[in-house]
Amino acid sequence: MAASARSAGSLVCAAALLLAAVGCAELRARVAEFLPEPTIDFEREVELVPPEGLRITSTPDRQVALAWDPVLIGDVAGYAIIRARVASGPYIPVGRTSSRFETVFVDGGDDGKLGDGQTYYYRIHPYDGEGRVSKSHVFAKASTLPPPEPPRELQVYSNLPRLAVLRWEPSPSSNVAGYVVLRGPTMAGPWERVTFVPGALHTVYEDRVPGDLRVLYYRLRGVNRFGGESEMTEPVRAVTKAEPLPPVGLTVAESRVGRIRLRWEPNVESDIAHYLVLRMTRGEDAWNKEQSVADVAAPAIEWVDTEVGCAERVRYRLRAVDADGLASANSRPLETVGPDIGLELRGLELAWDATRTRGWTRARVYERRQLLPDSLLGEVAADESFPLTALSPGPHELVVVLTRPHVSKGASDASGQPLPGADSLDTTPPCRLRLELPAAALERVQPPT
Amino acid sequence: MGLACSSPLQRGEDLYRHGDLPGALQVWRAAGTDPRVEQRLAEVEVQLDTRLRRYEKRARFFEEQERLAEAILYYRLALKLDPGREATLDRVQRLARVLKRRVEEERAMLRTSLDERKLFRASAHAQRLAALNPFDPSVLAETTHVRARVGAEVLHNLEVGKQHYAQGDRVRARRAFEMVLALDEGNQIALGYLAYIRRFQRQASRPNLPDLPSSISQEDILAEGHYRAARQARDAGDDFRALSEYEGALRANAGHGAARRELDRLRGDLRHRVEELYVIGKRYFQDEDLHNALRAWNQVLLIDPGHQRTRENVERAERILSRLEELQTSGS
Repeated sequence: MAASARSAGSLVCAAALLLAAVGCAELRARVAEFLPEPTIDFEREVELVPPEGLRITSTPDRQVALAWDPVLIGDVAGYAIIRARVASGPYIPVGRTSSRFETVFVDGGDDGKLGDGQTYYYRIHPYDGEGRVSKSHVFAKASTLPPPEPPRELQVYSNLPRLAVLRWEPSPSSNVAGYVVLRGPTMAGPWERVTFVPGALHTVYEDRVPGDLRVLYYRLRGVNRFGGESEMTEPVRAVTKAEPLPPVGLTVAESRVGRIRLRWEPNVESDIAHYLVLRMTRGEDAWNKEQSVADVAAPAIEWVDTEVGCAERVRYRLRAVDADGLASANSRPLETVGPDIGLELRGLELAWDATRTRGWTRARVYERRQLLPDSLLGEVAADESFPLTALSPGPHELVVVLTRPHVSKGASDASGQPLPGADSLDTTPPCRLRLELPAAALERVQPPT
Repeated sequence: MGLACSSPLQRGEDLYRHGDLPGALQVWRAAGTDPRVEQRLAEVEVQLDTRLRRYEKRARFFEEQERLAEAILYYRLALKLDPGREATLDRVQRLARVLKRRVEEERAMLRTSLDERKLFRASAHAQRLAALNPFDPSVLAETTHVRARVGAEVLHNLEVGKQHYAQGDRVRARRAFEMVLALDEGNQIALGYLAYIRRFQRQASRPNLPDLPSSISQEDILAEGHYRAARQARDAGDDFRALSEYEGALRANAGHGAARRELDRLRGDLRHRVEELYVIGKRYFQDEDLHNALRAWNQVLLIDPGHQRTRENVERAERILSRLEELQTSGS
């Protein structure tokens, strides 16, 4: 009775194996429900022929796959698989199969417990329908795949704005699931895990770095899908883009009344977008607040200040700004004085140096008054002097403003000459002179009435 | 809020921890006469001074080596720690202009060499370009391309040479190995094969010479190549490179008798320089010039590998160098 049941069981198992082969796992499980597997008991022994041809068919992913030839003689209900860390044992049961034809077993599964690069010793014992295990067994030694090798040829692209780009060649190991990127402030670490880049062939990573001219070191590890890590690659150095150097060579290229032309050397960086011109004027006792007065688009390297006062002390500095918006430190300051026209009292005339007023056509002379608007005393040609006969003796503060007709850009006559604007004037900043008009001099030119 | 309420000592410490050394010093200098702040300030000022000297010495070392972008980097790191160093800023401005010009020159020569298919020259220009500015992504791309081309050519000729050598066609083998040397003049494998080919030729012309061994291993060939490279270095007056090549020969094949004899002889000849080089290294080290200290001490170790004091000092200097950028400014 028992023999026929076993024989029927074997047949069902064979059928189940066949069904499993065609993928009908559900049906197989139902068959197994009707025929519960015997409890394996290593204490009760039976004489069965050991299987032959035990081989290791696969070792990646922290698994060991075993296969052997079926034992075709004797009452073999399946095979018990036992495992040890050393050949002499102790061995522990790790699995069983349920048919003489079920001759494959995968140890490890998905939990990764076998580890990377670990060696194990296996024995396969046949057991019979009553769960008695044969004394004889077949033996094999297997090692799981070692942890992956590190990726190769790690390179880093430096000089990028607050960014370091890493690229590498994939690890040659087949069990790589991705790469861990490590970053350190020095070549000796400490190494901070920046990210995990999934995928064996995903071999680029962009690391955002807060800060300009930051030196960083990177290393990589290959990682398998259980988190087993390779050795680290050698560190590579990355440097984020530096802000531009401060501009140099700032000088006054031309200085005329109402006009200071600044010039500087082009920055050495090839991606300068513009230069900021900063100006500070001198107050009575101290420098006033610095202001940004111009934004000069590169590659221009000069700028004309038309607002500098006559004899006014000014200090200029520059900043270079690159295409990524990184701004340099300030250049060294350039201190200068706004040109004046050499105002002086010559006899009873307000005179000036006509060579300094070239380019201007007229000179307007005002008197500065306390609490009242300036009073226009008159206007002369820019290369003449202005008679002061209308003034009373005593102290006066006079102001001269040079003017010329405004030339509109683009407007020209038939011969191509620029046309002066009809109703607007260019003017210089005011040039001042405090003077004391002597009474005696006025008496000489103004006979008593 | 917490920062505003904390003491100057703590505010400075916070900045220091975040790498903003100038900021920390500024807070502590303005803090008045708290003895704890004064003590911390004194400590960090010493640190700052040491670090500045190390940065500038490293920069100068790179400058001497024509590694200008690296020189600029370390000068600029010094400037970040102490923006008031006018002389350093002037040096950076000058070096940046020299670097730009030199990169343009090397790049032009590299392209000309590639156009003319002069790979040896192209390789030399690519090496100089990479040394000048290893941080420039376009330089990295160009030099990687040239290295790949030259490397492929070297490998191809090595394989061709080995095949001819194995088939007994030493004339063609020699031609292929000489092609390798034309691209990579110190290639030890090519040097090794050529040395054996010359020996075979000598033996053919003088039959009374002892027979060469029937099989020659790759280790024998590599060792012979190192040995030949060492002889070349000696002829060029570079005794330290010669020592290093003799060591390479013995690493490849510990039984290379000629390399052993020459190494021992040369070490004997140079032994009188050990103490002098040790002292030179020490002087550099005391001056925070770690690269030059290492150079001198590594020369000592080439002459006397068992020189314990030097070995300990080399380890110390390497440790300091590997942590040089530990304290960077916040930089943003």
